[in-house]
Amino acid sequence: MSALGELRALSRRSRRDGPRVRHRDNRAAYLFLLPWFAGLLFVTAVPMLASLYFSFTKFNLLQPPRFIGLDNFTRMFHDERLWAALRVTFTYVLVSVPLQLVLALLLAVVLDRGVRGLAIYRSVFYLPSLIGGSAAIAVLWKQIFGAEGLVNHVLAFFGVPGESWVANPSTALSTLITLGVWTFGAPMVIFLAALRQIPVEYLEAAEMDGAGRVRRFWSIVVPLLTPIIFFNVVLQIIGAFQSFTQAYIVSGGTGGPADSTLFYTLYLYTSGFANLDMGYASALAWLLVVIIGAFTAVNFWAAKSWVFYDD
Amino acid sequence: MTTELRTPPRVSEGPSRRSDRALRRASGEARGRRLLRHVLLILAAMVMLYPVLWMVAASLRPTDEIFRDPSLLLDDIDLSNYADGWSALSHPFSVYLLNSMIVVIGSILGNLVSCSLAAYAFARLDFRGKRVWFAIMLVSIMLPVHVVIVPQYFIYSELHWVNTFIPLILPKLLATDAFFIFLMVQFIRGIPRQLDEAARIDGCGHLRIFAQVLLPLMVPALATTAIFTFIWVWSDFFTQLIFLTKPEKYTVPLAIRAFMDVSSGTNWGPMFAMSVVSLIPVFLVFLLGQRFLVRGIATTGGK
Amino acid sequence: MTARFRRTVAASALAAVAVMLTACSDTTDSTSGEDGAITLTMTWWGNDTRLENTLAIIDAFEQAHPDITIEPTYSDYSGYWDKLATQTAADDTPDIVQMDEIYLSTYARQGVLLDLSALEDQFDLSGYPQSAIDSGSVDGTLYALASGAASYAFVANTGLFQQAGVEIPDDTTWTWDDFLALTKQLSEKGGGDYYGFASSFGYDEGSLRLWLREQGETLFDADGQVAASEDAVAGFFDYLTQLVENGSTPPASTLQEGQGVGLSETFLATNRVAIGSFWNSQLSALSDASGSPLQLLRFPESQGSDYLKPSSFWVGSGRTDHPEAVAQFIDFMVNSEEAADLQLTERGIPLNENVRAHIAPKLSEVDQAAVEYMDGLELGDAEPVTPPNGSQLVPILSRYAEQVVFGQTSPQDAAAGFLGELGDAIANG
Repeated sequence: MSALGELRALSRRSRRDGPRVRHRDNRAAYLFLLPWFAGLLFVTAVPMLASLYFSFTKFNLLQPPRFIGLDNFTRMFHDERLWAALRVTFTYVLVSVPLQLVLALLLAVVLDRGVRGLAIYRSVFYLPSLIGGSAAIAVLWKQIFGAEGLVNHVLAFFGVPGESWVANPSTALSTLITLGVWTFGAPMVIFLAALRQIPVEYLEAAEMDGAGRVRRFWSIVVPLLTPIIFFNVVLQIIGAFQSFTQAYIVSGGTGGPADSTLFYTLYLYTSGFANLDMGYASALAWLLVVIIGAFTAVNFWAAKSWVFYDD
Repeated sequence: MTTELRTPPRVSEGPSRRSDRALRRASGEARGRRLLRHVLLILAAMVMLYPVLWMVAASLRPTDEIFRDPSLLLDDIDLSNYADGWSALSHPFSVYLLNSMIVVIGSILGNLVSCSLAAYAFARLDFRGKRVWFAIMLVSIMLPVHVVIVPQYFIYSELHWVNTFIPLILPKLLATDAFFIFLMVQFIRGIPRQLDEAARIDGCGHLRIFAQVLLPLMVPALATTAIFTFIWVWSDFFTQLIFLTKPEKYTVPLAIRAFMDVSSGTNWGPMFAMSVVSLIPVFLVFLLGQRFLVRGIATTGGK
Repeated sequence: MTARFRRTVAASALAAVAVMLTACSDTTDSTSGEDGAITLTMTWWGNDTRLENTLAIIDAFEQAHPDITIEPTYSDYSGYWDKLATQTAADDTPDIVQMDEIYLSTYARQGVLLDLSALEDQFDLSGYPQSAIDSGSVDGTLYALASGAASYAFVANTGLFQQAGVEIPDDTTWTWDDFLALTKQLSEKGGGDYYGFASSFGYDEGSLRLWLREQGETLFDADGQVAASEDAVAGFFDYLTQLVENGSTPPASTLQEGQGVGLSETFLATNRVAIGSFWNSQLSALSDASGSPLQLLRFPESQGSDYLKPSSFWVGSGRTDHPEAVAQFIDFMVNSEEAADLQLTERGIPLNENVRAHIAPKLSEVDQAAVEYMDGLELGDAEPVTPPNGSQLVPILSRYAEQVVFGQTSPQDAAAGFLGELGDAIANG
């Protein structure tokens, strides 16, 4: 807390030193944003608006969409599977994101320096993220959490009988959360890159002042890392809400057993492509945008009190 | 190794304050702690690696043995899955590797250039509607791909771009991966503003500030972007499935799925073998790429 | 540099990029042709074995028809339907399409498919039983010809039967109660190393349809409505719970683990159960995977109820520029001896009796057993064509089967829920 305050004061002081003229750079900004604007216009906006339109239609892909007003949205209220999907997805987001981020930060700090063979360790810890979305993962996960998987072999060694974890409705989601946490490589790499950016002078200065390692971590590293922690929190939440591939592959596209791994986007995808109901799928997509948008807005609002920017 | 830059040996401070014995004990403790850390890391690494090792082992077994034998140990090494898998599809597997490589390299270049430009504007420039545009950018990554891919397909089909790599690369050239824009924005905001303000006083324009002051400081973020783009595009199945139709344009994920079929059975041996093959480039890129993450400090720390 | 100039440069740079990209794009239309040459696009799902066969068939066809070129595409089953729907939405349906029975009417009723009745002179239909023609017809119009068919059956691992010291039962006289007792006995002999029975029975359409036919019902009627009674479906779910509670199958979660997996990972293929249920055409793939001798057994009490499911159809796109060429290819695919020699029973056992007779001597012993099994069946009436949106049948069924197996729902409630949801899906179609 106090460290954050100190840093804030420091940067405010430095800002006062330099002449900081407030002027708009509209022209330059639009030039820098030109590719992005073009992408927004040609690649993003049109399909987004199209999907918004589809959400008010009955559209089975094989025939042109037919306008049906708000029917797709009112249908959501009686859709029990949608509630199942929301329950699964919220559980996943609330459990896997914190676990994944804490693990990623911890390992990033450990792997940041001072260990021989760093490159190897980092790559090994990143490896799961490489196969996390591959078609082979369904089989691999059964090798671990299946009835005769690794986990049960270990349990059997201690005399504990185990059932299949992947195929039991009460544990299937936990195995997918484990899979999500297991692929923590992406946020770890981002943390590693961010740790690299912390000016050595800050740490040296603190060390001269006699700050121990733990104190240096909490009062220098963490505050300077907050923009990236914030980034990871925002995007891991967005990503977790959209989590699809792993549930799709592990459950064979069903979200089973008994809808216990029916992730929101999996349900949306099934509605759109398997059930050929792209209208309803689009409505579901926009509901998801509202939900994720709300989470992100709260994140940005809360960020004002804990994220430290040096600018 | 450049890693050591961060913790330079400080020979000068210790001895004057500490007794010899304390020093020896401290270094013994340090060695113990280092050892413990390695043991823990290796244990963790083994847990992380088990599935990967299983896959490698499976790729070295005949298909019909893969699911009958759960152990990691191999009786003998059978490389025939690799030979079979390489030539089992309509084209040699190298064609798919090459196609994936083209898409990946195009995507990386696109993301690096377009996203860093946009990120500079969002992080450093003050312009009308900035907050709104930023919000729009974020919303664009919240919409699941499954509902926008159909209208996208309409557009690309009209332009006769289906079955080319354009639908896979063009969006990256146009900064549609907002993930990376936001990532770079956060990195740039972590760079002290005094640096570019100093440059501005020296009369630098935005392009020079961006190219000469900020870009060199953003190497870790750029390396992260490149690595992630590589990995995500390399393993992306759905968009490649929809936009590529001719087998000679197939990429690695499409080729790997071609070994799978629920009704007549998956040829697991070749499939695992080619999965391992397709992992090698990604693993190498990561091994090499993360050196860039390290080199990043040399620049940042050296200032 | 004025701002305006800079803007112009940027804009033209973008335009240049666009032009460059267009220049290297492939703008040839798939169906365009000069001097009478015809190019047809074609798509199917399947693994690399099927790919090899199919490419060989395409080569043979192109040799026989030098003016026609076939451009193939293939993908795995689930991706296949995503892509086909997207292509169809954009009017890009390939000219020749491999079609699954559960999707046939969905596509046929949308006017997407080529009316083959109008091209009947292109086909030699003499070898087909009427039921095979009917199974490819929707509302009296022929849209599809099946390259093969299959019948749902039990598959016994005779090796495990021997190991257990249990005789293979007489499948013409056994009852469902016998099956329950037999599989329980096998599980007990297995002592956890193997079980009596596990498969997608209860989760898949074949088992449900055959069960209902034995009760004198069908899942759908000829008008495309859900016709099965709640009691009959409840009886089906109830039998499934009995199998689990009786110990005939492994514990529920283990049984569940075997769902939705490829053939080679099924419990039967890994020699962990003595009996499984499959389509008879899958016998040779199963034997390859298990390495043990396998034998097909009829469902108990199934005389006169068995039916043939077309295992994959060939259809044409209604928007093709070359309907005759499409018809020629489909005819070659399903009726020519050359194509039959190349794919044998890989796409199911040929429905065309002439073709079936032609390949019979060339088949492996296992495949011959599968053909003999099918020839020996007393077939009932053809199964009505699955109505539009009927493709949701399997996901809905397996979801209720899961709830029943894990005791979350009673068989009666599951039956009501299943029929209600299926009816809604079809009404929505």
